Amino acid sequence: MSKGIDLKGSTRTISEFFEYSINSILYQRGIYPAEDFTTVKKYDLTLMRTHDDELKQYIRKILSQVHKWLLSGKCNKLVLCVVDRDEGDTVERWAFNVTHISKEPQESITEEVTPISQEETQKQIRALIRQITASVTFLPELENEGNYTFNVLAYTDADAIVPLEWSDSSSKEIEDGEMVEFRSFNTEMHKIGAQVSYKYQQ
Amino acid sequence: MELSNSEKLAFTANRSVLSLTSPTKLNIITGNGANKSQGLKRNSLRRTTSLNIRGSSAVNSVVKPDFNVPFRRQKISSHKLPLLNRSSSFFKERSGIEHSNKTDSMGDNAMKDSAGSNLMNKSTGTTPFERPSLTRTSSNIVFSLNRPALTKQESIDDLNDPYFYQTDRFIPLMKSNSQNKIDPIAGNDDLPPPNASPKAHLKAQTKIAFKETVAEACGFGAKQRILQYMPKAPVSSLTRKSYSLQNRTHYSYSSFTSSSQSNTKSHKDLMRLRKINTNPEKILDAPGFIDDFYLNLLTWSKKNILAIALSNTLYLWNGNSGDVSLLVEYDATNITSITWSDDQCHLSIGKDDGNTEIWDTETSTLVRTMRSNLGVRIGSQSWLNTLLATGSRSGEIQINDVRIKNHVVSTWEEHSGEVCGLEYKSDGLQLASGGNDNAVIIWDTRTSMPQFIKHNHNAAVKAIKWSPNIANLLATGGGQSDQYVHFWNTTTGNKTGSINTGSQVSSLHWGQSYNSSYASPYQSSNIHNDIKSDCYKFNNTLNREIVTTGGNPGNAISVFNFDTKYKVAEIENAHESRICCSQLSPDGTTLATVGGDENLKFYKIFDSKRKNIRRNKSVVDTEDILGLFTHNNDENNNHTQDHENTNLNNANNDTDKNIDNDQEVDYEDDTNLRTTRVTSRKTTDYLIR
Repeated sequence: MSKGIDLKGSTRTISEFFEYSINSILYQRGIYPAEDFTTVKKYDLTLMRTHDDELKQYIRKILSQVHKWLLSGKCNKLVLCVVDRDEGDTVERWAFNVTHISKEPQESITEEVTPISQEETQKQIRALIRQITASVTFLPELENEGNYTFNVLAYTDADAIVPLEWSDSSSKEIEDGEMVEFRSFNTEMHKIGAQVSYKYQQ
Repeated sequence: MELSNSEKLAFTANRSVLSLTSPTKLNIITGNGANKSQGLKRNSLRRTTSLNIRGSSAVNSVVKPDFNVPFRRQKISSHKLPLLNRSSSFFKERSGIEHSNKTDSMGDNAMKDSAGSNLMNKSTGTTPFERPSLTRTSSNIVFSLNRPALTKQESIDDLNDPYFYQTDRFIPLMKSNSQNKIDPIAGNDDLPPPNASPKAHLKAQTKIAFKETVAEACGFGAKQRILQYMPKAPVSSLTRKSYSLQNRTHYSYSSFTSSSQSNTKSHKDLMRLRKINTNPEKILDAPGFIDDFYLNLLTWSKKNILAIALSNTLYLWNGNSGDVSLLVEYDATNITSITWSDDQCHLSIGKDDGNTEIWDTETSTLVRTMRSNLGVRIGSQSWLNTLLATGSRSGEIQINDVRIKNHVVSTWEEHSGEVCGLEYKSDGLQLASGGNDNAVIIWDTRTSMPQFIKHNHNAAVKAIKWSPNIANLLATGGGQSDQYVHFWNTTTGNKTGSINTGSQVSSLHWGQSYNSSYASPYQSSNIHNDIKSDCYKFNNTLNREIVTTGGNPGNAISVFNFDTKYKVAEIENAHESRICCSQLSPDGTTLATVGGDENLKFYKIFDSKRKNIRRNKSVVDTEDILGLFTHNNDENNNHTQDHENTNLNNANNDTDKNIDNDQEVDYEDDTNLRTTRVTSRKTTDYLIR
């Protein structure tokens, strides 16, 4: 048991994963121009990460708050919505479900929680990020590139402490959208699942 | 009643208000609505509908559809119709009875409603002790719902009372309230303290149960909130810089803060990178040109006649016709410096033997020979009306009055090396000289004494030019081992700035460019608003620029922005060997350079001042009008004013702006006046041309 990662470590892993996956999505979906991204080695993969300071700061600010929520176990979903700049419609919705394993013993059923090694987690993350990257192939093309922006939603417990920048929002679901479930990964304390829903176009 | 109303309103105002998507809060509304009369059922229905929209959409895509929603709702709302009604009228009844406890007890009552108990009429007896145990969440909602009824102070007995509609209408109000955070206390479904009355416990239990029901129906967990990070995602850098990508002219140097400009405006940070034609417009052969850094062998008159000295011969090239004529050819002596007089008709020729000759170029006759009696070459000259200052190799500066027989009116010996740069200030009060002793001396011509001696340069100072716009601004450029251009305030003697050019500065000139291209309608429609206005400002803004010519490495012509000190354009390898001399055309646009490769080349460097004046005169300029329309009114006015000023006197206006921007330079009172004079002179020149 002891060789598994603790809550802090687990949260850090998750926050880090969020950062890379958000960056990947922004890059893959062309929300920001490719010139804004540089390659970094992570999870034994070559990932794209923005070097635009403003964007970096923006993502960091979001994730630092999410990190706090995760630490207190109050965040159970992070959603990245790709939003049409003009219409305000959500065209894609990337959701990451966070399940706190320790918190909800009834969900992890009766079986003993087997310690998950970091390597195992990394492997799972890699698989998940690969899937995200690969999803470009089936996602509908976003027309007029550069016309999209993104929103981040966090599903938190009602008693979470909420800083001023965050406010209640609708779930921004896509009506009549298609949904694709991705793999999930586990840390000792969390289980992260991912899915994308998108506007289905004929 | 009045008092308690206002209290309530105040209370409501700083309470958090429900949010549609936050089930922790929703339930309360619904809780109320569910227990209330038919009249309010309308209300509850609406709420339910809005809930269902979210809920069902969530249901559709995430969770399995739950068709129990409407069913449950109906079930809940089907009974206890009269409750709200009673509560409404109840307030009225009670108004006379109890004043102090009003606010809280009403919340209390509503709570009882939602608890489904029939204690309504007894609740007047709510003890103060109980009050804190009321869950605060509920109270605000209840207040908001009841507010219209209360403020109107009308009894509501009828089920179909119109005020229920009003109640209904007030829901959006609450929704529009931006303070939609749940306060942490509210989120906790705290059970009442153990010492609370059984009623309170029952109430709390019911509330929790109800919350869960609603949340389940809506498709999210009871304790969940959806939060959005509100600040907008940054615009992609592509969009941010789109204007620069289009024009390749704007670059943002966010780190750049000009030390000399405390009130740096945002557009000051935007650097212009200019595009200039790197190919010469014309190349002339200059055989026998002496490749000597210390000589000034090129001069261009305001009448567009370029004079060039090739060893011992002097040629005139007419810029209008392109004709070349030989003015004079000496037998043995080389020409070491040439300068047009202020009347543009006479040319002074400094020679190797120390003599200076003045030629009338109209008649091609020698007017006068002035002997310096120094026996060394005259490497630099400058005219001031009838005075001609000559700088000799031995370091003396002689002031010659060409009208009188004993022409040397004074000799200034301060330089210890050859004087290779010499220029009078436009008002004649100061003379700047640069020498091979690395010194820059600013002379007071009235006292014939050096006013300032500057040793900042580490090499011979040949390039010396006074700013055409700011009377007391001087630029000096150092030679091979210095490579710096320094700017001086000649009133105070302060150095106001420096540019490291990276190469020998053999000559420098002041010039200007305008950002006229940015106000075109197509571009301005694409550009972000504030930038747009900046662009418009740019459109009228004169960019003061410096062009320097150099040698190793690159033999380049470099253009620097005076305000930012950034290099904005460069022509590399303009010549095959170092550039020795350069002159600006009378219209200030074209630079004639001559180098060791014996070529005379003409480069278009600057925007024409004259062109700008003309453009401003025709006020009905499509660009400008479109530019005006794209602006806020206040700015619009300013610009219109600016515009008028510009029409009157463009250069003068520019000077004004410069004064605004440049604080460190200490301006003399008559700066404007003088500049006006200079400008008018130039304008006439243009007319002549």
